[in-house]
Amino acid sequence: MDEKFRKMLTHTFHIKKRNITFTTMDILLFLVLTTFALVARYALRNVVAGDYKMFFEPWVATLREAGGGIKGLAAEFEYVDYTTPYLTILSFISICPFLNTLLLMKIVSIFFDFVAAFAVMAIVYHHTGSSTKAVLGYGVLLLVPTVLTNGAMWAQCDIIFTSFILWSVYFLLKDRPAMGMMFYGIAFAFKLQTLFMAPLYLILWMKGKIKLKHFLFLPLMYFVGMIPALIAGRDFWELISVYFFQANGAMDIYALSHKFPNVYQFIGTDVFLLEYADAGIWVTLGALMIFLYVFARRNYEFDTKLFLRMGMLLTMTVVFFLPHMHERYAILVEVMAILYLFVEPEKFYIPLLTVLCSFAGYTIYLAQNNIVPMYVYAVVFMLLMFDHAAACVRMIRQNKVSLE
Amino acid sequence: MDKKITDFIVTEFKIGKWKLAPIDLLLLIFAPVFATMLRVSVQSYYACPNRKAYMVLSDGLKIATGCFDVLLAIVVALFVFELTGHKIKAFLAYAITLLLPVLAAGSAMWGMGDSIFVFFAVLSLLLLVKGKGNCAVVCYGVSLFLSRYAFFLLPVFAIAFMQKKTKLVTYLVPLCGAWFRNGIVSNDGKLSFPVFEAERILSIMRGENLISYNWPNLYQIIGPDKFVTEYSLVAKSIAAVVMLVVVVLVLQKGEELVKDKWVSLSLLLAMVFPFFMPQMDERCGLLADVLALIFVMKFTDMYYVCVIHVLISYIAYSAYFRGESVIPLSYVAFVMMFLIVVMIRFVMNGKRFSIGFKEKEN
Repeated sequence: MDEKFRKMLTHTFHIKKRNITFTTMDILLFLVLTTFALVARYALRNVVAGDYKMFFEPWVATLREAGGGIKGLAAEFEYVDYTTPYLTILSFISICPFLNTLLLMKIVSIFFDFVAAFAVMAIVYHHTGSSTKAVLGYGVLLLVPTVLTNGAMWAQCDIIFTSFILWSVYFLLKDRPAMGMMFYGIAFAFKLQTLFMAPLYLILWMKGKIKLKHFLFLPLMYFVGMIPALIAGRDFWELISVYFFQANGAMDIYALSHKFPNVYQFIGTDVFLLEYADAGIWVTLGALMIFLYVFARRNYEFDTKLFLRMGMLLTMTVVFFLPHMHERYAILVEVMAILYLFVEPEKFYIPLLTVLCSFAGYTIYLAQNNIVPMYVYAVVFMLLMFDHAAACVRMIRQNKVSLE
Repeated sequence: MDKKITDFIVTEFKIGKWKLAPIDLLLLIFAPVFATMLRVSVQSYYACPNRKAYMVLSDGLKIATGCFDVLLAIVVALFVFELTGHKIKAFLAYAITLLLPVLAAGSAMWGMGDSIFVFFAVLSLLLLVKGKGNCAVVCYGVSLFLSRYAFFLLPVFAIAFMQKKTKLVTYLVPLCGAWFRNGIVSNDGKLSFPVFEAERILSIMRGENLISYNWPNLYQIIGPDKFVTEYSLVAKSIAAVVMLVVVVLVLQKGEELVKDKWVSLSLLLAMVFPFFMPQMDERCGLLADVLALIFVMKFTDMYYVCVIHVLISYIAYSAYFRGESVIPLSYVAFVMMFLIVVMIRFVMNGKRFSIGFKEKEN
């Protein structure tokens, strides 16, 4: 009986078509992790964050007043900085007869938590070939505090664009650039923060991993995302200009950093609001230009490690120098750090510290709790950037390809 | 098609003596563009808006120092090329110098003429490294005339003299520079020279007498407002002793200083003196910032020296701009001390403290 049970647990399944192997234990692990992830989210279901009261609830009410669904998209907002795809989701939520708006919004985000987790599972499996590690990757993403609280507690939707970027990364690592860029385009249709990863995609183009034509997916997907609003009768130019409004940061000008541990925590987030807002953008562009020059000028081979390290470094550079960054804006770095855990497990400190830095900001927002000064986290964040920069230089030297 | 474009971007073409790729040209063009935009973003700020004299000077100084920022970037690039023989590093140094936040804030925001003295100081070191010792001393004299912070490099030129790189007579220029500045221009204000006027106004604005004006040094740890007169004299004596000890130690080693040794010694001095000297202000780290950049371009694995020093400098700037520092300056002083220890180890024994990756040691 015991032996039978043991055999059953270690029984191996093989899906020939996809060349995937897994055991009963993996299935059990998957089920347990999924259950815990759902229980954790259930525990947070009733938390009402300030953003919901201030923004989401009035938006949904406006959409409902306009008729909800596609019709609702014709609504005139006093202020909204979301693009059509997410507003469409909100508009359908507004007329949903089941549950309340808050729960429905959280359910949408939780659904995408799982979409992202499956992407992590696929990437880890692609890299390691181990189904156990893949399931663990899935579990880590679902249970990491920032991902958990972002959707299930705060009712934010950052995981939506993040999940599409993760699938984009998966397809790029599988050398399927068209699919990769299509998902990147979908992510772009949801959120402007997708562009934090753009420098990495430029490097990938320079290294021949992506074709120039694939970048057309960005405007294409943005346009596809606009269609429901166009059907509802919204003005084309108004829809196009949503990101320009966001880039101006009109709503965020009251602080140079919104509880995010970046360079402004060293010099003060409350002075020279106008001067540093512009200067910060130019410093960011300058820093990116220098990194792009260094990474594009040399000839080397890309591998998963370098891909993730470079991705983290470039994204961190953006959020470290760009003004008006929110607590949630390093989510791309966090998910890449989680992936890196399974690529180079001995560097476990990378995801640990990355999530810690971000979650410090979450804590200040959600619990109004600021025990450790933010500049301490900013120092940690900067040290992580040093680590990534050093690793990139090291790997580029190792992977150097002779021009001959 | 894509391959053709990407290959074209990195393919080198011969332009005169140089072999340049389009990507190099892009960097050379966009770095000043971004640097200009960065300066334009902050130029509307005036440190002393209520002082008419300052307002009259400020705009002119901002433009003049902006031009010197570009010249400084070119000198830094030439210096890096001289040290490394590496074209890409030289281009990078040029771009980074232009985008250094401390440089941009000092010139375009604060309207101080520091990049002018730094330009002459770095140029003097470059000339020294190139074996043109006498010209170097003349440049150093100009630098010393423009700012008291050029004083940090005095031991370097003392060593240069002892190692027969320069002639004694040329030292009249720095001597005149220091005398002209301290005796005539700075103290009495008989000659109205914009750079000094700006500094004089700033000094009046400060009002209180402290032993350290927002520079994270030893006095931030023990308290910048206690025993100001007493400690000032003690500190000056200690600084003079340190200067002498450095010269004696280097000469006693009997090793002739070449290229990067000049840079590392200069950087160490530019870090050590502000740490002990009294009345050091927020801007006294600028010379070390630029020297640190040149240094890390040669010793890439010590990149953090430059990043941290620039950050420390900017934290000091912010302490002035805000009226107080977000991070207590005493904490920052400990980080500064760490950098000094790292540099002393390097200068004394050539030991590198690397983070992340290690370069091959020479």
